[in-house]
Amino acid sequence: MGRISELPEALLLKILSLMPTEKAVATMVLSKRWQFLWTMVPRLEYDHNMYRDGEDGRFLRFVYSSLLLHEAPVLESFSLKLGQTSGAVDVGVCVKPAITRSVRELNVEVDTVTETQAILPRSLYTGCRMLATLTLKDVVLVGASSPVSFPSLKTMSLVSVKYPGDEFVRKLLSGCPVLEDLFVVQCRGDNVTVLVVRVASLKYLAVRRSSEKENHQGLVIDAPSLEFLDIVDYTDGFCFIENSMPKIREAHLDVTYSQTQQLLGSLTSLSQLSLCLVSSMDAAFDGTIFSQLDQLKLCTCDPEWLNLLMRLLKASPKLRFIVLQQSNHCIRTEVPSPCWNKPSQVPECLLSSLESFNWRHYEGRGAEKELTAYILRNSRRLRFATFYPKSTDPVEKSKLRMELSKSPMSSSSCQLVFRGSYNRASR
Amino acid sequence: MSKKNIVLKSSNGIIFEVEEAVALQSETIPYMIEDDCANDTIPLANVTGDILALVIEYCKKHVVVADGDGGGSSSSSQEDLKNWDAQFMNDLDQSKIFNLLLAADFLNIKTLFDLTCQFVADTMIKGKSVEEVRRTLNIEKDYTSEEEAKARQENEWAFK
Repeated sequence: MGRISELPEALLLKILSLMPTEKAVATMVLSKRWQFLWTMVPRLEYDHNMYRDGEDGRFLRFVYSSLLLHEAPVLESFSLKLGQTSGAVDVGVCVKPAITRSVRELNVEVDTVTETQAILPRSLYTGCRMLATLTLKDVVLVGASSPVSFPSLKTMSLVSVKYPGDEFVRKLLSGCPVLEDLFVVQCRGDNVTVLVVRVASLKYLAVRRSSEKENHQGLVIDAPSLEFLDIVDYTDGFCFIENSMPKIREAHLDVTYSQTQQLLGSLTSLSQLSLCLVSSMDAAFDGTIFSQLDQLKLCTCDPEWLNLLMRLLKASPKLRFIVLQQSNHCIRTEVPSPCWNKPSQVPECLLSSLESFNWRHYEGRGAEKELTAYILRNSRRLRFATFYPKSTDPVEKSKLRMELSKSPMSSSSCQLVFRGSYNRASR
Repeated sequence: MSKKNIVLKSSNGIIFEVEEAVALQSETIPYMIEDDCANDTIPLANVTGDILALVIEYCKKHVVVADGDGGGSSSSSQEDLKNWDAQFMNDLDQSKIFNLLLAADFLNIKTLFDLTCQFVADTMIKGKSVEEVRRTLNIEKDYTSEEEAKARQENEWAFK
Protein backbone atom coordinates (compact mmCIF):
# COMPACT_ATOMS: atom_id res chain seq x y z
CA MET A 1 0.00 0.00 0.00
CA GLY A 2 1.86 3.01 -1.17
CA ARG A 3 -0.47 4.88 -3.47
CA ILE A 4 -3.51 7.03 -2.97
CA SER A 5 -5.51 5.02 -5.54
CA GLU A 6 -5.29 1.99 -3.26
CA LEU A 7 -7.18 3.74 -0.48
CA PRO A 8 -10.81 2.73 0.02
CA GLU A 9 -13.40 5.00 -1.56
CA ALA A 10 -14.71 6.27 1.78
CA LEU A 11 -11.28 7.70 2.62
CA LEU A 12 -10.87 9.30 -0.80
CA LEU A 13 -14.29 10.92 -0.40
CA LYS A 14 -13.26 12.22 2.99
CA ILE A 15 -10.14 13.79 1.47
CA LEU A 16 -12.11 15.30 -1.42
CA SER A 17 -14.60 16.77 1.02
CA LEU A 18 -11.85 18.90 2.54
CA MET A 19 -11.52 21.18 -0.46
CA PRO A 20 -13.69 23.59 -2.42
CA THR A 21 -15.97 21.79 -4.87
CA GLU A 22 -14.01 23.23 -7.83
CA LYS A 23 -10.94 21.28 -6.78
CA ALA A 24 -12.83 18.07 -6.05
CA VAL A 25 -14.58 18.20 -9.43
CA ALA A 26 -11.31 18.68 -11.31
CA THR A 27 -10.07 15.29 -10.07
CA MET A 28 -12.46 13.63 -12.53
CA VAL A 29 -9.76 13.54 -15.21
CA LEU A 30 -7.03 12.03 -13.00
CA SER A 31 -7.90 8.46 -13.96
CA LYS A 32 -10.95 6.30 -14.58
CA ARG A 33 -11.25 5.48 -10.90
CA TRP A 34 -11.60 9.17 -10.12
CA GLN A 35 -14.04 9.98 -12.89
CA PHE A 36 -17.24 9.85 -10.82
CA LEU A 37 -15.76 9.95 -7.35
CA TRP A 38 -16.46 13.66 -6.93
CA THR A 39 -20.18 13.10 -7.51
CA MET A 40 -20.34 11.20 -4.21
CA VAL A 41 -18.48 13.72 -2.06
CA PRO A 42 -20.84 14.56 0.80
CA ARG A 43 -19.88 18.24 0.97
CA LEU A 44 -20.45 20.99 -1.55
CA GLU A 45 -18.69 24.29 -1.14
CA TYR A 46 -19.15 27.13 -3.61
CA ASP A 47 -17.48 30.47 -3.15
CA HIS A 48 -17.98 33.23 -5.67
CA ASN A 49 -15.00 35.08 -4.27
CA MET A 50 -12.73 32.43 -5.79
CA TYR A 51 -13.66 33.79 -9.22
CA ARG A 52 -12.35 36.96 -10.76
CA ASP A 53 -14.52 39.89 -11.81
CA GLY A 54 -16.33 39.13 -15.03
CA GLU A 55 -16.42 35.42 -14.36
CA ASP A 56 -19.97 35.39 -12.99
CA GLY A 57 -21.24 33.36 -15.91
CA ARG A 58 -18.56 30.76 -15.32
CA PHE A 59 -19.35 30.59 -11.61
CA LEU A 60 -23.06 30.16 -12.33
CA ARG A 61 -22.43 27.46 -14.86
CA PHE A 62 -20.14 25.64 -12.48
CA VAL A 63 -22.67 25.72 -9.65
CA TYR A 64 -25.60 24.56 -11.76
CA SER A 65 -23.70 21.88 -13.70
CA SER A 66 -22.06 20.33 -10.67
CA LEU A 67 -25.34 20.37 -8.75
CA LEU A 68 -27.06 18.56 -11.61
CA LEU A 69 -24.40 15.87 -11.85
CA HIS A 70 -23.77 15.46 -8.14
CA GLU A 71 -25.26 12.26 -6.73
CA ALA A 72 -24.40 11.83 -3.07
CA PRO A 73 -27.69 10.78 -1.47
CA VAL A 74 -26.93 12.61 1.78
CA LEU A 75 -25.12 15.92 2.16
CA GLU A 76 -23.12 16.56 5.27
CA SER A 77 -22.56 20.13 4.32
CA PHE A 78 -23.60 22.66 1.72
CA SER A 79 -22.03 26.09 1.56
CA LEU A 80 -22.82 28.85 -0.91
CA LYS A 81 -20.99 32.16 -0.68
CA LEU A 82 -22.06 34.79 -3.13
CA GLY A 83 -20.00 37.83 -3.95
CA GLN A 84 -20.95 41.31 -5.03
CA THR A 85 -21.78 40.48 -8.62
CA SER A 86 -23.29 37.06 -8.30
CA GLY A 87 -26.81 38.46 -8.09
CA ALA A 88 -28.01 36.33 -10.94
CA VAL A 89 -27.63 33.11 -8.97
CA ASP A 90 -30.99 31.79 -7.93
CA VAL A 91 -30.25 30.97 -4.32
CA GLY A 92 -33.53 29.12 -3.99
CA VAL A 93 -32.70 26.75 -6.83
CA CYS A 94 -29.19 26.10 -5.52
CA VAL A 95 -30.27 25.38 -1.98
CA LYS A 96 -33.06 22.98 -2.93
CA PRO A 97 -30.82 19.96 -3.66
CA ALA A 98 -29.28 20.43 -0.23
CA ILE A 99 -32.70 20.39 1.37
CA THR A 100 -33.86 17.27 -0.44
CA ARG A 101 -30.63 15.46 0.47
CA SER A 102 -31.00 15.82 4.22
CA VAL A 103 -28.23 18.38 4.62
CA ARG A 104 -26.70 18.53 8.11
CA GLU A 105 -24.86 21.81 7.79
CA LEU A 106 -26.14 24.63 5.61
CA ASN A 107 -24.34 27.90 5.02
CA VAL A 108 -25.60 30.64 2.73
CA GLU A 109 -23.72 33.92 2.76
CA VAL A 110 -24.17 36.90 0.51
CA ASP A 111 -21.92 39.89 0.24
CA THR A 112 -23.89 42.88 1.54
CA VAL A 113 -23.25 44.97 -1.55
CA THR A 114 -25.29 42.64 -3.72
CA GLU A 115 -28.30 44.44 -5.09
CA THR A 116 -30.59 41.53 -5.73
CA GLN A 117 -31.99 39.81 -2.71
CA ALA A 118 -31.17 36.22 -1.94
CA ILE A 119 -34.48 34.64 -1.03
CA LEU A 120 -34.43 31.21 0.52
CA PRO A 121 -37.07 28.68 -0.51
CA ARG A 122 -39.96 27.91 1.83
CA SER A 123 -39.14 24.22 1.65
CA LEU A 124 -36.26 25.05 4.00
CA TYR A 125 -38.72 25.39 6.88
CA THR A 126 -40.12 21.89 6.66
CA GLY A 127 -37.68 19.81 4.65
CA CYS A 128 -34.60 19.85 6.86
CA ARG A 129 -35.12 17.02 9.30
CA MET A 130 -31.39 16.39 9.76
CA LEU A 131 -30.12 19.97 9.71
CA ALA A 132 -27.87 20.56 12.73
CA THR A 133 -26.10 23.79 11.80
CA LEU A 134 -27.61 26.71 9.89
CA THR A 135 -25.60 29.82 9.02
CA LEU A 136 -27.24 32.61 7.06
CA LYS A 137 -25.85 36.01 6.16
CA ASP A 138 -27.61 38.78 4.23
CA VAL A 139 -30.40 36.60 2.96
CA VAL A 140 -34.15 37.01 3.01
CA LEU A 141 -36.48 34.64 4.81
CA VAL A 142 -40.03 34.76 3.55
CA GLY A 143 -43.18 34.00 5.52
CA ALA A 144 -44.19 30.42 6.17
CA SER A 145 -47.76 29.24 5.81
CA SER A 146 -47.15 25.96 7.58
CA PRO A 147 -45.27 25.52 10.88
CA VAL A 148 -41.50 25.82 10.76
CA SER A 149 -39.68 22.66 11.82
CA PHE A 150 -35.98 22.11 12.41
CA PRO A 151 -36.12 19.08 14.69
CA SER A 152 -32.33 18.54 14.79
CA LEU A 153 -31.04 22.11 14.65
CA LYS A 154 -28.43 22.76 17.35
CA THR A 155 -26.56 25.82 16.06
CA MET A 156 -27.99 28.77 14.20
CA SER A 157 -26.33 31.98 13.08
CA LEU A 158 -28.50 34.71 11.58
CA VAL A 159 -26.41 37.64 10.43
CA SER A 160 -28.19 40.59 8.80
CA VAL A 161 -31.08 38.38 7.79
CA LYS A 162 -34.37 39.98 6.75
CA TYR A 163 -37.59 38.53 8.09
CA PRO A 164 -41.27 39.05 7.37
CA GLY A 165 -41.70 40.43 10.92
CA ASP A 166 -41.52 39.76 14.69
CA GLU A 167 -44.07 36.98 14.55
CA PHE A 168 -42.02 35.03 12.01
CA VAL A 169 -38.93 35.06 14.22
CA ARG A 170 -40.98 33.62 17.07
CA LYS A 171 -42.34 30.95 14.75
CA LEU A 172 -38.85 30.14 13.50
CA LEU A 173 -37.40 29.75 16.99
CA SER A 174 -40.36 27.78 18.25
CA GLY A 175 -39.63 25.30 15.46
CA CYS A 176 -36.18 24.57 16.90
CA PRO A 177 -36.79 22.31 19.91
CA VAL A 178 -33.15 21.31 20.45
CA LEU A 179 -31.42 24.57 19.56
CA GLU A 180 -28.42 25.19 21.83
CA ASP A 181 -26.43 27.94 20.21
CA LEU A 182 -27.92 31.07 18.65
CA PHE A 183 -26.12 34.08 17.21
CA VAL A 184 -28.17 36.98 15.86
CA VAL A 185 -26.92 40.18 14.27
CA GLN A 186 -29.79 42.49 13.54
CA CYS A 187 -29.58 44.84 10.59
CA ARG A 188 -31.32 47.87 9.20
CA GLY A 189 -34.66 47.02 7.69
CA ASP A 190 -34.90 43.51 9.10
CA ASN A 191 -38.54 44.13 10.11
CA VAL A 192 -37.99 43.05 13.71
CA THR A 193 -38.98 45.49 16.44
CA VAL A 194 -38.75 43.23 19.47
CA LEU A 195 -36.53 40.19 19.18
CA VAL A 196 -38.12 37.45 21.26
CA VAL A 197 -35.91 34.46 22.04
CA ARG A 198 -37.97 31.78 23.73
CA VAL A 199 -36.05 28.54 23.46
CA ALA A 200 -36.06 26.09 26.34
CA SER A 201 -32.99 24.19 25.15
CA LEU A 202 -30.79 27.24 24.44
CA LYS A 203 -27.38 27.27 26.13
CA TYR A 204 -25.46 29.99 24.25
CA LEU A 205 -26.95 33.25 23.05
CA ALA A 206 -25.18 36.15 21.40
CA VAL A 207 -27.01 39.19 20.04
CA ARG A 208 -25.66 42.25 18.23
CA ARG A 209 -27.69 45.39 17.63
CA SER A 210 -26.20 48.64 16.47
CA SER A 211 -27.27 52.20 17.13
CA GLU A 212 -28.43 52.96 13.60
CA LYS A 213 -31.73 54.78 13.57
CA GLU A 214 -33.99 51.84 13.36
CA ASN A 215 -37.12 50.62 15.01
CA HIS A 216 -35.34 47.95 17.00
CA GLN A 217 -36.99 48.34 20.37
CA GLY A 218 -35.77 45.56 22.52
CA LEU A 219 -34.87 42.03 23.32
CA VAL A 220 -36.91 39.51 25.29
CA ILE A 221 -35.24 36.34 26.49
CA ASP A 222 -36.85 33.25 27.91
CA ALA A 223 -34.13 30.62 27.98
CA PRO A 224 -34.09 28.75 31.29
CA SER A 225 -31.18 26.50 30.23
CA LEU A 226 -28.94 29.38 29.19
CA GLU A 227 -25.29 29.10 30.27
CA PHE A 228 -23.68 31.87 28.22
CA LEU A 229 -25.06 35.28 27.27
CA ASP A 230 -23.29 37.84 25.11
CA ILE A 231 -25.08 41.06 24.18
CA VAL A 232 -23.71 44.06 22.34
CA ASP A 233 -26.56 46.51 21.96
CA TYR A 234 -26.06 50.20 21.26
CA THR A 235 -29.74 50.99 20.87
CA ASP A 236 -31.54 52.75 23.68
CA GLY A 237 -33.83 49.76 23.93
CA PHE A 238 -34.19 47.16 26.63
CA CYS A 239 -33.45 43.56 27.46
CA PHE A 240 -36.07 41.73 29.43
CA ILE A 241 -35.43 38.30 30.94
CA GLU A 242 -38.73 36.47 31.32
CA ASN A 243 -37.66 33.53 33.45
CA SER A 244 -34.82 32.76 35.79
CA MET A 245 -31.65 31.27 34.34
CA PRO A 246 -30.18 29.09 37.08
CA LYS A 247 -27.46 27.65 34.83
CA ILE A 248 -26.05 30.94 33.59
CA ARG A 249 -22.28 30.97 34.09
CA GLU A 250 -20.87 33.62 31.82
CA ALA A 251 -22.17 36.95 30.54
CA HIS A 252 -20.65 39.66 28.37
CA LEU A 253 -22.75 42.78 28.31
CA ASP A 254 -21.83 45.86 26.33
CA VAL A 255 -25.05 47.76 26.29
CA THR A 256 -26.47 51.25 26.35
CA TYR A 257 -29.77 50.45 28.06
CA SER A 258 -31.11 52.98 30.52
CA GLN A 259 -32.61 50.20 32.66
CA THR A 260 -30.44 47.29 33.75
CA GLN A 261 -31.95 46.24 37.09
CA GLN A 262 -34.01 43.39 35.66
CA LEU A 263 -31.23 42.14 33.37
CA LEU A 264 -28.47 42.18 35.99
CA GLY A 265 -30.86 40.84 38.59
CA SER A 266 -31.38 37.74 36.42
CA LEU A 267 -27.71 36.86 36.36
CA THR A 268 -27.13 35.86 39.97
CA SER A 269 -25.51 32.49 39.17
CA LEU A 270 -22.74 33.95 37.03
CA SER A 271 -19.17 32.94 37.53
CA GLN A 272 -17.80 35.30 34.87
CA LEU A 273 -19.10 38.74 34.05
CA SER A 274 -17.74 41.26 31.63
CA LEU A 275 -19.49 44.57 31.64
CA CYS A 276 -19.51 47.85 29.76
CA LEU A 277 -22.37 50.17 30.54
CA VAL A 278 -22.69 53.74 29.36
CA SER A 279 -24.62 54.92 32.34
CA SER A 280 -22.85 53.16 35.16
CA MET A 281 -24.30 55.62 37.64
CA ASP A 282 -27.81 54.44 36.89
CA ALA A 283 -26.88 50.81 36.53
CA ALA A 284 -29.04 49.27 39.16
CA PHE A 285 -28.91 45.82 40.66
CA ASP A 286 -30.10 46.66 44.14
CA GLY A 287 -30.32 43.66 46.36
CA THR A 288 -28.76 41.37 43.76
CA ILE A 289 -25.94 39.24 45.09
CA PHE A 290 -23.65 37.60 42.58
CA SER A 291 -22.93 34.81 44.98
CA GLN A 292 -20.91 32.68 42.52
CA LEU A 293 -19.08 35.46 40.69
CA ASP A 294 -15.43 34.54 40.29
CA GLN A 295 -14.16 36.80 37.50
CA LEU A 296 -15.19 40.36 36.76
CA LYS A 297 -14.07 42.34 33.75
CA LEU A 298 -15.19 45.94 33.80
CA CYS A 299 -14.80 48.56 31.11
CA THR A 300 -13.53 51.92 32.32
CA CYS A 301 -14.93 54.04 29.51
CA ASP A 302 -17.76 55.55 31.49
CA PRO A 303 -16.96 58.35 34.01
CA GLU A 304 -18.98 56.55 36.69
CA TRP A 305 -17.30 53.16 36.35
CA LEU A 306 -15.61 53.42 39.74
CA ASN A 307 -18.91 53.83 41.49
CA LEU A 308 -20.21 50.77 39.61
CA LEU A 309 -17.09 48.77 40.49
CA MET A 310 -17.48 49.45 44.21
CA ARG A 311 -21.11 48.38 44.12
CA LEU A 312 -20.21 45.23 42.19
CA LEU A 313 -17.49 44.39 44.72
CA LYS A 314 -19.98 44.73 47.52
CA ALA A 315 -22.39 42.40 45.70
CA SER A 316 -19.81 39.74 44.81
CA PRO A 317 -18.53 38.08 47.97
CA LYS A 318 -16.50 35.35 46.26
CA LEU A 319 -14.76 37.36 43.56
CA ARG A 320 -11.22 36.16 42.80
CA PHE A 321 -10.24 38.01 39.61
CA ILE A 322 -10.76 41.61 38.58
CA VAL A 323 -9.78 43.01 35.20
CA LEU A 324 -10.21 46.70 34.43
CA GLN A 325 -9.85 47.68 30.80
CA GLN A 326 -11.01 49.95 28.03
CA SER A 327 -12.94 48.02 25.41
CA ASN A 328 -12.12 48.25 21.75
CA HIS A 329 -15.15 50.37 21.02
CA CYS A 330 -14.19 53.17 23.43
CA ILE A 331 -13.95 56.06 21.05
CA ARG A 332 -13.31 58.71 23.64
CA THR A 333 -9.62 58.74 24.39
CA GLU A 334 -10.04 61.23 27.21
CA VAL A 335 -12.37 59.84 29.78
CA PRO A 336 -12.89 62.28 32.66
CA SER A 337 -11.23 61.11 35.86
CA PRO A 338 -13.74 59.14 37.89
CA CYS A 339 -14.87 60.21 41.29
CA TRP A 340 -13.70 58.18 44.29
CA ASN A 341 -15.83 57.73 47.37
CA LYS A 342 -14.24 55.45 49.88
CA PRO A 343 -16.78 52.82 50.92
CA SER A 344 -17.80 52.77 54.56
CA GLN A 345 -17.08 49.06 54.82
CA VAL A 346 -14.43 46.98 53.05
CA PRO A 347 -16.18 44.60 50.61
CA GLU A 348 -16.15 40.96 51.66
CA CYS A 349 -14.36 39.79 48.50
CA LEU A 350 -11.32 41.95 49.25
CA LEU A 351 -11.02 40.51 52.72
CA SER A 352 -11.46 36.90 51.79
CA SER A 353 -11.24 35.97 48.11
CA LEU A 354 -9.63 38.44 45.68
CA GLU A 355 -6.47 36.89 44.23
CA SER A 356 -5.75 38.83 41.08
CA PHE A 357 -6.19 42.48 40.17
CA ASN A 358 -5.35 43.39 36.60
CA TRP A 359 -5.53 46.91 35.20
CA ARG A 360 -5.11 47.49 31.48
CA HIS A 361 -4.62 51.05 30.19
CA TYR A 362 -3.75 52.30 33.67
CA GLU A 363 -3.29 56.05 33.80
CA GLY A 364 -2.64 56.55 37.49
CA ARG A 365 -4.80 59.63 37.87
CA GLY A 366 -6.15 60.81 41.23
CA ALA A 367 -9.09 58.52 41.84
CA GLU A 368 -7.39 55.64 40.03
CA LYS A 369 -4.47 55.87 42.42
CA GLU A 370 -6.83 55.94 45.36
CA LEU A 371 -8.62 52.82 44.13
CA THR A 372 -5.32 51.02 43.58
CA ALA A 373 -4.10 51.94 47.05
CA TYR A 374 -7.41 50.82 48.55
CA ILE A 375 -7.34 47.45 46.76
CA LEU A 376 -3.71 46.77 47.70
CA ARG A 377 -4.21 47.89 51.29
CA ASN A 378 -7.32 45.81 51.91
CA SER A 379 -7.00 42.66 49.79
CA ARG A 380 -5.60 40.15 52.22
CA ARG A 381 -5.33 37.24 49.79
CA LEU A 382 -4.09 39.11 46.76
CA ARG A 383 -1.44 37.18 44.82
CA PHE A 384 -1.02 39.26 41.68
CA ALA A 385 -1.57 42.95 41.01
CA THR A 386 -0.75 43.63 37.37
CA PHE A 387 -0.67 47.03 35.68
CA TYR A 388 -0.36 47.88 32.01
CA PRO A 389 0.23 51.62 31.72
CA LYS A 390 -1.67 53.48 29.05
CA SER A 391 1.18 55.93 28.56
CA THR A 392 4.05 54.96 26.29
CA ASP A 393 6.34 57.65 27.69
CA PRO A 394 9.20 55.94 29.61
CA VAL A 395 9.46 58.75 32.18
CA GLU A 396 5.75 58.65 32.88
CA LYS A 397 5.87 54.87 33.10
CA SER A 398 8.69 54.75 35.60
CA LYS A 399 6.90 57.38 37.71
CA LEU A 400 3.79 55.17 37.81
CA ARG A 401 5.91 52.18 38.71
CA MET A 402 7.59 54.09 41.56
CA GLU A 403 4.24 55.19 42.97
CA LEU A 404 2.83 51.69 42.83
CA SER A 405 5.82 50.06 44.47
CA LYS A 406 5.41 52.33 47.49
CA SER A 407 1.80 51.31 48.09
CA PRO A 408 1.30 49.41 51.34
CA MET A 409 -0.03 45.90 50.77
CA SER A 410 -1.90 43.74 53.26
CA SER A 411 -1.04 40.52 51.46
CA SER A 412 2.58 39.62 52.04
CA SER A 413 2.60 37.15 49.15
CA CYS A 414 1.33 39.63 46.56
CA GLN A 415 3.42 40.11 43.43
CA LEU A 416 3.26 43.55 41.95
CA VAL A 417 3.72 43.26 38.19
CA PHE A 418 4.28 46.21 35.94
CA ARG A 419 4.01 45.38 32.28
CA GLY A 420 4.58 47.18 28.98
CA SER A 421 1.54 48.61 27.25
CA TYR A 422 -1.38 46.26 26.99
CA ASN A 423 -1.44 44.92 23.51
CA ARG A 424 -4.86 43.83 22.35
CA ALA A 425 -3.45 41.79 19.52
CA SER A 426 -1.51 39.60 21.91
CA ARG A 427 -4.48 38.62 23.96
CA MET B 1 -4.51 7.57 39.74
CA SER B 2 -2.62 4.38 39.09
CA LYS B 3 -1.09 4.08 35.65
CA LYS B 4 -1.94 0.95 33.75
CA ASN B 5 -0.02 -0.17 30.72
CA ILE B 6 -1.41 -1.72 27.58
CA VAL B 7 0.53 -4.00 25.27
CA LEU B 8 -0.06 -3.66 21.53
CA LYS B 9 1.25 -6.08 18.94
CA SER B 10 1.70 -5.02 15.33
CA SER B 11 0.89 -7.24 12.34
CA ASN B 12 4.58 -8.12 11.99
CA GLY B 13 4.84 -9.10 15.63
CA ILE B 14 6.44 -6.01 17.14
CA ILE B 15 5.39 -5.36 20.72
CA PHE B 16 4.68 -1.86 22.08
CA GLU B 17 3.88 -1.19 25.71
CA VAL B 18 2.10 2.10 26.27
CA GLU B 19 0.23 3.85 29.06
CA GLU B 20 -3.48 3.25 29.00
CA ALA B 21 -4.24 6.96 28.44
CA VAL B 22 -2.08 6.93 25.32
CA ALA B 23 -3.80 3.87 23.86
CA LEU B 24 -7.28 5.04 24.72
CA GLN B 25 -7.13 7.88 22.24
CA SER B 26 -8.11 5.11 19.88
CA GLU B 27 -11.80 4.40 20.12
CA THR B 28 -11.27 0.91 18.73
CA ILE B 29 -8.86 -0.35 21.39
CA PRO B 30 -11.35 -0.25 24.31
CA TYR B 31 -13.56 -2.73 22.44
CA MET B 32 -10.56 -4.97 21.85
CA ILE B 33 -9.69 -4.86 25.55
CA GLU B 34 -13.23 -5.89 26.46
CA ASP B 35 -13.32 -8.67 23.92
CA ASP B 36 -9.95 -9.99 24.84
CA CYS B 37 -9.71 -9.47 28.57
CA ALA B 38 -7.98 -12.80 29.27
CA ASN B 39 -5.01 -11.91 27.14
CA ASP B 40 -2.93 -8.86 27.95
CA THR B 41 -1.63 -8.30 24.43
CA ILE B 42 -3.84 -6.64 21.86
CA PRO B 43 -3.06 -7.81 18.34
CA LEU B 44 -3.46 -5.23 15.59
CA ALA B 45 -3.60 -7.37 12.48
CA ASN B 46 -3.62 -4.57 9.95
CA VAL B 47 -1.08 -2.13 11.35
CA THR B 48 2.61 -2.72 10.76
CA GLY B 49 5.26 -1.92 13.36
CA ASP B 50 6.65 1.19 11.69
CA ILE B 51 3.16 2.69 11.33
CA LEU B 52 2.15 1.71 14.85
CA ALA B 53 5.28 3.46 16.11
CA LEU B 54 4.12 6.63 14.38
CA VAL B 55 0.60 6.30 15.77
CA ILE B 56 2.01 5.90 19.29
CA GLU B 57 4.34 8.85 18.84
CA TYR B 58 1.34 10.97 17.86
CA CYS B 59 -0.83 9.71 20.73
CA LYS B 60 1.93 10.24 23.29
CA LYS B 61 2.38 13.82 22.18
CA HIS B 62 -1.31 14.49 22.34
CA VAL B 63 -1.92 12.85 25.68
CA VAL B 64 0.78 14.95 27.37
CA VAL B 65 -0.88 18.15 26.33
CA ALA B 66 -4.34 16.95 27.32
CA ASP B 67 -2.90 16.24 30.77
CA GLY B 68 -1.41 19.71 31.21
CA ASP B 69 -3.27 22.28 33.29
CA GLY B 70 -5.92 24.03 31.32
CA GLY B 71 -4.93 27.42 32.64
CA GLY B 72 -3.81 30.52 30.77
CA SER B 73 -1.18 28.67 28.80
CA SER B 74 -3.67 26.50 26.95
CA SER B 75 -3.69 28.62 23.79
CA SER B 76 0.07 28.57 23.45
CA SER B 77 0.23 24.81 23.96
CA GLN B 78 -2.49 24.46 21.31
CA GLU B 79 -0.24 26.46 19.02
CA ASP B 80 2.76 24.27 19.89
CA LEU B 81 0.72 21.17 19.20
CA LYS B 82 -0.31 22.49 15.80
CA ASN B 83 3.31 23.14 14.89
CA TRP B 84 4.28 19.71 16.14
CA ASP B 85 1.51 18.12 14.03
CA ALA B 86 2.69 19.98 10.91
CA GLN B 87 6.28 18.87 11.46
CA PHE B 88 5.19 15.31 12.18
CA MET B 89 3.32 15.08 8.87
CA ASN B 90 6.03 16.85 6.91
CA ASP B 91 8.61 14.28 7.92
CA LEU B 92 6.65 11.37 6.42
CA ASP B 93 6.83 9.98 2.92
CA GLN B 94 3.67 9.33 0.92
CA SER B 95 3.49 5.62 1.56
CA LYS B 96 3.73 6.21 5.32
CA ILE B 97 1.06 8.90 5.12
CA PHE B 98 -1.47 6.64 3.39
CA ASN B 99 -0.74 3.77 5.76
CA LEU B 100 -1.07 6.13 8.70
CA LEU B 101 -4.42 7.26 7.32
CA LEU B 102 -5.61 3.65 7.14
CA ALA B 103 -4.34 2.99 10.67
CA ALA B 104 -6.02 6.11 12.07
CA ASP B 105 -9.24 5.03 10.39
CA PHE B 106 -9.00 1.47 11.69
CA LEU B 107 -8.01 2.51 15.22
CA ASN B 108 -10.58 5.32 15.11
CA ILE B 109 -8.34 8.14 16.31
CA LYS B 110 -10.34 11.07 15.08
CA THR B 111 -7.79 13.88 15.43
CA LEU B 112 -5.06 11.89 13.69
CA PHE B 113 -7.48 10.84 10.95
CA ASP B 114 -8.56 14.44 10.35
CA LEU B 115 -4.98 15.67 10.45
CA THR B 116 -3.86 13.14 7.86
CA CYS B 117 -6.81 13.72 5.52
CA GLN B 118 -6.32 17.47 5.75
CA PHE B 119 -2.61 17.12 5.03
CA VAL B 120 -3.28 15.04 1.91
CA ALA B 121 -5.96 17.48 0.71
CA ASP B 122 -3.87 20.58 1.37
CA THR B 123 -0.45 19.49 0.19
CA MET B 124 -1.19 17.00 -2.55
CA ILE B 125 -4.36 18.14 -4.28
CA LYS B 126 -5.44 21.71 -3.43
CA GLY B 127 -3.55 24.39 -5.31
CA LYS B 128 -2.19 21.93 -7.87
CA SER B 129 -3.12 21.38 -11.50
CA VAL B 130 -4.49 18.00 -12.60
CA GLU B 131 -1.09 17.07 -14.05
CA GLU B 132 0.66 18.03 -10.84
CA VAL B 133 -1.79 16.03 -8.73
CA ARG B 134 -1.32 13.02 -10.97
CA ARG B 135 2.44 13.31 -10.68
CA THR B 136 2.49 14.05 -6.94
CA LEU B 137 0.19 11.18 -6.09
CA ASN B 138 1.69 8.80 -8.60
CA ILE B 139 -1.68 8.14 -10.20
CA GLU B 140 -1.52 5.98 -13.25
CA LYS B 141 -3.22 7.68 -16.17
CA ASP B 142 -5.47 5.03 -17.65
CA TYR B 143 -7.14 7.47 -20.04
CA THR B 144 -5.66 7.84 -23.48
CA SER B 145 -4.84 11.42 -24.33
CA GLU B 146 -7.88 11.49 -26.63
CA GLU B 147 -10.12 10.17 -23.86
CA GLU B 148 -8.86 12.79 -21.45
CA ALA B 149 -9.32 15.55 -23.99
CA LYS B 150 -12.85 14.31 -24.62
CA ALA B 151 -13.65 14.20 -20.89
CA ARG B 152 -12.38 17.73 -20.51
CA GLN B 153 -14.37 18.89 -23.48
CA GLU B 154 -17.58 17.26 -22.26
CA ASN B 155 -17.07 18.81 -18.84
CA GLU B 156 -15.80 22.14 -20.02
CA TRP B 157 -17.76 23.83 -17.20
CA ALA B 158 -15.50 22.14 -14.65
CA PHE B 159 -12.20 23.51 -15.89
CA LYS B 160 -11.19 27.12 -15.76
